[in-house]
Amino acid sequence: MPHALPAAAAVLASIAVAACAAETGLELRVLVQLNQPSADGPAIAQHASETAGVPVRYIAATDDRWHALAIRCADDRACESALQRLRDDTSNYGHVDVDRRRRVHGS
Amino acid sequence: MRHPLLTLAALCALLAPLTLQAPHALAATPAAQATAPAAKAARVIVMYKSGGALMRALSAHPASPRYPQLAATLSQRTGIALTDGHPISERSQVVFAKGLSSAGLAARLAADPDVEFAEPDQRRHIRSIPNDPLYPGNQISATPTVGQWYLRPPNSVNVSAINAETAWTTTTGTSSVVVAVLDTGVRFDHPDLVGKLYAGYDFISDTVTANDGNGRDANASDPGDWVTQAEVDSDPTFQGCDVGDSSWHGTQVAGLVGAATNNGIGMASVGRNVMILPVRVLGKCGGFDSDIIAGMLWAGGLSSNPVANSHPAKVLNLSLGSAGSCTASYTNAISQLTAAGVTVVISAGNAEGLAVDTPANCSGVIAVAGVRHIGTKVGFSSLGPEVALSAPAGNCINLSGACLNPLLTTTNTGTTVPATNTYSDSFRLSLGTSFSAPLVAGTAGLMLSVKPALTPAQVKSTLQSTARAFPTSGAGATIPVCQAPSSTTQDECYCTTSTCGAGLLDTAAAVAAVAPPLAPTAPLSASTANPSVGVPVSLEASDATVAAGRSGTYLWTLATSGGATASFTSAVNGSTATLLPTAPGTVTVTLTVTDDLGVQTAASTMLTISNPPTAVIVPSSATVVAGDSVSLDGSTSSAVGGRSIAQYAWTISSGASFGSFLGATNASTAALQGTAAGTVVVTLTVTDSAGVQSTANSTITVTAAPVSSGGGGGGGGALGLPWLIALAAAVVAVRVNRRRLRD
Repeated sequence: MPHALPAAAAVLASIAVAACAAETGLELRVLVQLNQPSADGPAIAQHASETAGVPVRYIAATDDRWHALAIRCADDRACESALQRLRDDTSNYGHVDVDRRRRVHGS
Repeated sequence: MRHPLLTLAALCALLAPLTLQAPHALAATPAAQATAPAAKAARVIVMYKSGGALMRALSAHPASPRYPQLAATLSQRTGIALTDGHPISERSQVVFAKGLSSAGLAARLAADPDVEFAEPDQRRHIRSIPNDPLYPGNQISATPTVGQWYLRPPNSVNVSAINAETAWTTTTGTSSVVVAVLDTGVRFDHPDLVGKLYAGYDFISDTVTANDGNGRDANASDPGDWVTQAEVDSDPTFQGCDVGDSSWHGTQVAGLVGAATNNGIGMASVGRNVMILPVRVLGKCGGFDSDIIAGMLWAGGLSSNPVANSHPAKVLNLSLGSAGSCTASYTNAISQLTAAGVTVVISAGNAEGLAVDTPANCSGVIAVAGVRHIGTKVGFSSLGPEVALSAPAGNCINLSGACLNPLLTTTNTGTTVPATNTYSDSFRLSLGTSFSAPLVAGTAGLMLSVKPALTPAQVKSTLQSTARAFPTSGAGATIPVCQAPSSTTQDECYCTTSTCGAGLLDTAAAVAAVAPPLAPTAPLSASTANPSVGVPVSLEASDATVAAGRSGTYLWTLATSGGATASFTSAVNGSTATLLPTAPGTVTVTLTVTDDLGVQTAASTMLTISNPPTAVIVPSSATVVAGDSVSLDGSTSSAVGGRSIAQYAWTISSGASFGSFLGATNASTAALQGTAAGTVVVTLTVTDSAGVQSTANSTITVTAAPVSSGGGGGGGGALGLPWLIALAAAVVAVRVNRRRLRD
């Protein structure tokens, strides 16, 4: 049976999986955009955990809509699935990005 | 009722005003150019004595126009036609005069008892070359001695130099413009950054990578970002990270943007006087989008989480990134920032010719690629259509030994924790597009210093439209033209506008493009500051100027007071004009020079119109016998308007062979001796205390001396005794008369 994910989502998922493996192992940082602004970190993490089906740790906010979370996964496939479940919850999340690591552009 | 000036302006418009075509410092009409160019006006600063009569007199008449009156009074006293210029302080102003040097005018004015000092108002120029010792050609290391080559005007060797030095003649930046450096934090104790840094904030939320013992906090200092092999091997946080010493990357970037300049210490920066807001978003092994974006929003004043930013930045510099597509979170943050007027400058990346990193590939930012000193893409730089323009990134040329074209900037010697503050050089290298971006960010800071209302889109479009074309030769025939990014790396290549942006950053051109045009100058002079009724006054402004490349027009107007009447007898839209006073009082003549952008400068001079003095001659007799004298009395001559007769001058206008003056000819009285029969016309010229003259004539008839009746036939030629007695008496009388006149 062919994979049900759209192509773009599949690409992002693969990036996320790579990030899981390369950077945090079993923990993946994500940036979620809430449809409803909130500053309640624990509640945001709790809701994300219920949606993703994996433990979620609240990290920080960028503003009252965008929040950084760490999702804890058993393996890469679990991370991919958890990320997809968050993205599928469009009633609560406008966007779900991998919270990628950036590096300096000079020596 | 319409304002008379508006009416006059409308009239002038109808008269098709003569046009000033001023390539730079000339503003003469074609007609004026045909005449001999006017001498340059002497320009002097005058300081009046605080307790002097002039200042006391003005204090008694606070409503009178202060500085024109002071200049007019000095004119009266010195006999020099002075034009009042702008005031400098309560007791000082600039004055102009024609026909003598500034030094000569200063000496004349300084002799006035009410003048504390007078000195030439000399032109000064911005010193564009800073005195920072590393700027001209020194480095911490002995060789090479390229100094800060990248800030100087470009030449055949350093093609990509950004020409900041020339931009500094327009602006050296203002401290009201804040450039945020989102990076690893800064070394606040670096001597070339002292006084240039706001406190900033540390947005790194992860305690391990923050390396300062906590998460987000108010301390934006850089504790070091070294990564050890042990950390990579044992800590999942550092998996995939590069082992390395501390970079002091934020300190390097901050130095290029705004290191203290012309302070005699270290280096110069592009932005010079702009202030830096350090926002720490990168720790050990970089930083996460969530912290970077939080820092961006806070830096731009769009977020008060966790504390309000009291120094929001107009420009953000991000010398960071990694591969990937622009994310929704960056798109959201950047759109908010640009909408709020914040310009976001981001380095393209060091992916050796691969695609531009995120977030430089996000819409709305100014992505900056790196070029070599000769203007070709430097090998390590990323490229692609997202790049807005390119700037030097440092390049070494040789593969070992001293790097020949690094970007010198502030840094620290510590390999882990901070050690000694220093500067990068040919061995402690600053290389990367990380250092191209702050050259653009600093330039944006200068642009906003001269035009704060620029939008981010205007900043970007101006940077692009003023960029210099990429070279297409000079690097050798083997160097290829840059191609669109693919999965294949590209080292040095000839840039194109589709791979490296619009061109090479030109700071001077970008600043000049947004700098307000120079206001015209309108120096005017009058042939006299104290004209008399009926005597035309010549007004002249041939030294008026408009900014280079502009043209302009003249407009002469006048305002009268104290019953004065006067009118122009010439056109009022030329570089010269003629005014005819017709009744005593005060007239203020104003010249307005307007350039083709509508920028105006006006200057005024006040003229005090008086009736001329009256010269009167009262002779003791209208006739005189040859050999005798007649006294001439000019003491009833008079002046008006509070003036007095200052000088008398007696001359013979005609008939000089029939008489001559006995004694002085510069007193109120004189004596004329008849020498032979004839008619003598005597002229008295009186000059009043304002220098205005008047004359009077008197006609004196000299008759022949009586002829002797003779002394008998044999005595021809001999005088008889009675005639000898009479002659002796006459000589005595004349001598007595001379003495009296001399007395």
